[in-house]
Amino acid sequence: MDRRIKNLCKRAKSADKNAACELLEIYHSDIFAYLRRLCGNRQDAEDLTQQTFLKVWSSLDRFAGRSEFSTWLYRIAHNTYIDWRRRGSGETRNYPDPWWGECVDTNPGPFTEVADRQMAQRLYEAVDQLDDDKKHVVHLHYYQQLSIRQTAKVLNIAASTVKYRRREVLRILRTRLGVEENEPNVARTIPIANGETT
Amino acid sequence: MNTEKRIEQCLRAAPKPPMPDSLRNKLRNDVSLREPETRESALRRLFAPSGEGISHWRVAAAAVIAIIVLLPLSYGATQLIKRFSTISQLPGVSKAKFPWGYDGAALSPDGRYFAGTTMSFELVGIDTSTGEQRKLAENCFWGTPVVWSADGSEIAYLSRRGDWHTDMGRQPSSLLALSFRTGKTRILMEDPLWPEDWSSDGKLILGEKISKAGLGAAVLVNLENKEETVLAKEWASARFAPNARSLSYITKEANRSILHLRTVDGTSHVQYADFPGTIDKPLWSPDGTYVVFTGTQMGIDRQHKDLWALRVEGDRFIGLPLPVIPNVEQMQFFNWSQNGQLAYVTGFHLGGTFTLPVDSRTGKASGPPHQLMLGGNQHCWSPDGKQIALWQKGGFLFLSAHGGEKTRDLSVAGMEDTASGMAWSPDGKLIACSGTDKQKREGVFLITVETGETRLLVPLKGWANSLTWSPDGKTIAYGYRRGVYVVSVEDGEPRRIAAPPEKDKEDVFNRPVFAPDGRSVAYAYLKGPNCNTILATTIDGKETREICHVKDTKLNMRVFSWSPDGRYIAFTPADEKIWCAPTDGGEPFLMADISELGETVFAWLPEWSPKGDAISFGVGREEYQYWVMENFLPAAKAGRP
Repeated sequence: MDRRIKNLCKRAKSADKNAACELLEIYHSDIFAYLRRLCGNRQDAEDLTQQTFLKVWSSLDRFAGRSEFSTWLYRIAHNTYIDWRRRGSGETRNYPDPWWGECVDTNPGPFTEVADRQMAQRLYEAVDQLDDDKKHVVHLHYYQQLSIRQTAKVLNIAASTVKYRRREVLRILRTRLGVEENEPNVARTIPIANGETT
Repeated sequence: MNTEKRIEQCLRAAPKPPMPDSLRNKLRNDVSLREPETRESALRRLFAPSGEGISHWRVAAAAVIAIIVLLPLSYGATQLIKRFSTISQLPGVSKAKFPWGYDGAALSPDGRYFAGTTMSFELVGIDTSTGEQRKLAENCFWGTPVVWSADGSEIAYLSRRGDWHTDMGRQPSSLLALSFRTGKTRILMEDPLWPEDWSSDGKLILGEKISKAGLGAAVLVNLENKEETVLAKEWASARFAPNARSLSYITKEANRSILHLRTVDGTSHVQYADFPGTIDKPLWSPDGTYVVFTGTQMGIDRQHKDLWALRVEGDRFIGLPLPVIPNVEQMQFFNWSQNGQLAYVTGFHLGGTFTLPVDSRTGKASGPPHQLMLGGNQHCWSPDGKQIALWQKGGFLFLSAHGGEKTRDLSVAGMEDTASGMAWSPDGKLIACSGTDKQKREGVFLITVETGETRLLVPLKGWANSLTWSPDGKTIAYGYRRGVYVVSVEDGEPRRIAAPPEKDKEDVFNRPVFAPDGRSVAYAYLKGPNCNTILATTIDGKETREICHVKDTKLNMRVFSWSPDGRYIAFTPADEKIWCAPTDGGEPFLMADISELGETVFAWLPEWSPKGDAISFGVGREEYQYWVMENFLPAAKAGRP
């Protein structure tokens, strides 16, 4: 774990509110983004983010530091989301989340090309249609950029399972995107022997 | 950049929803931390309960308790830790080109060696502690099981003659025993038998036999008097109990499996038929107290495959199966060695269909290979060269040969499965393929491209290989057993035009391709597994000539395709390279090397486009790991009794 985070955790555990606020500053936007994407609307995402951090502060003394703080935090956020779903919330959400479309249109970021934006839009919709197990892998590993090991710890599954699901996800997304995404004009790196003889 | 990388990049670059400022303030207000409790250490509370000095009496009492109670407990803890800690990967085994999806490997009784048949038709043994690999024998069927003798001194395996692709299991072959120490072999049986297990006294063998009609049967063979007992008229995965008095096997009825337990002499026979799904690969624990098997059940939304264990006492099953390891979908089990290690492979089988642009004047690649799609290796070109038809379970998928876009699906309800080497008719109306239909008939079929209707043109016992149409669309040539046949599409009467001399039992004529002028048919002349010569015979069978020969014995032309102008032969020796040999006697040259697609990648089944400006080919890629696990049964003694 990063030494600074470790130090902040230690201080927060001894009731140092400033340290806790610093931790909050570091992670709140990531956790909100994670929950926002998962539950599909801003109001629920805000509630879940609040619940997540309340749980964090109330159980911080039980955080033994065996995993990274961020992993522990995401695990709490993930469980909070799962509990929310089990209560039957979020079943009426609209797919796809309209935020995505607005965001891609108004915030070009890496999607400088129209084709890239369209692909991003279609990908987001395709991810939304994945089953929950695979969707969580996409959200944690790709959207939140957690490592395979961290994703496995958050989801409480083996790293090999994450890898398998990731592979399945790519296969499904590739199929759903259709074969026209095969970029026929993009050169591959496979060497071609011109006239090599035995 | 390939599509998957692009998808990953796109996912990673997904925009982040902005967080509202109001939430930030709420979260800051919510921060409430508990004051840390000051605790006295548990040890201090134990040894100094009054809060003053440490009591020496208490320390002494604790020491006595530790010796009397904790030491025996720690022994049990060690056992417990051992149970969970013994899953280990076999080093170096993945480097062997073991085929995925078959039973062709086994761990020696002492767990020291892992032996199996490779895709290079070799039997190899790998030291499981060092990963050191050595070739034990050549010319064996890859993917067929190998079985160790109970003392680990010999390995039984199926030697091969001819070409696996030609007619699996029906080529002349023998069951051999190879001495692991000296490397010498002896014949166990002249008849081909896929060995499943070898009794501890070495006198009996269990295996699968394929009849001349192509049907499998599980048999028990007495190696001394060659007496055979048919256990089941289907593949049954039979295994001896460690005491060699009993054996187990499975049969299937409807969607369920029946696990049989019978004494070798047949005096007792019981069945377990209540498993709600299919049972595969039952294996005995080394002490004979359990049979473990993979059980596959259909859940609400998907299939579940788990490892189960059923207790055995004497000649009976006891109780119900216990789930042992959940979710073994990605695992395939080999055998359970006498030292208690259950060997298995886990991995993925990937691949795809590719095209390679070719300069039709020089026969050389004019661009990089292009992946059309993941999976689907059985394919053929449309006569105009614009589409590629891929067989997928249940029908065809038609793709644009240029970009890989799907043009349409075709459901072929009448076909159960097809073999590789299909061909599209010159008028574009039919696809000829070999396979099995829903009525379990085997042979050459014609499928109407528009409707998916099927017609059995030539009934065969088994599958033909590599069908090819004459340019006028009136005749089909195909390979079957060791020879090459032609059949008129109108009357369906097959006629053999070429076959190797009867005395050369190792030789096979394979993978016919019609000459561009339609007057002759070219085929690979296989000598054992190798082919350095392509011959062509006129369709009346009267004249045969050599059209291509390569001197380099490492260049195996067994899987080849003839260019439409007749000037080049493209071929793959089942590795990462695609070669081209000019038919005018020029030196063969490398068309493409796909090794950068992965370590275990191989190209196969090249097919020239009708215009000769590209070849299509399948790519196989396997990633796998070999593991053993021990002490995984809740109450079983995993070692020898």
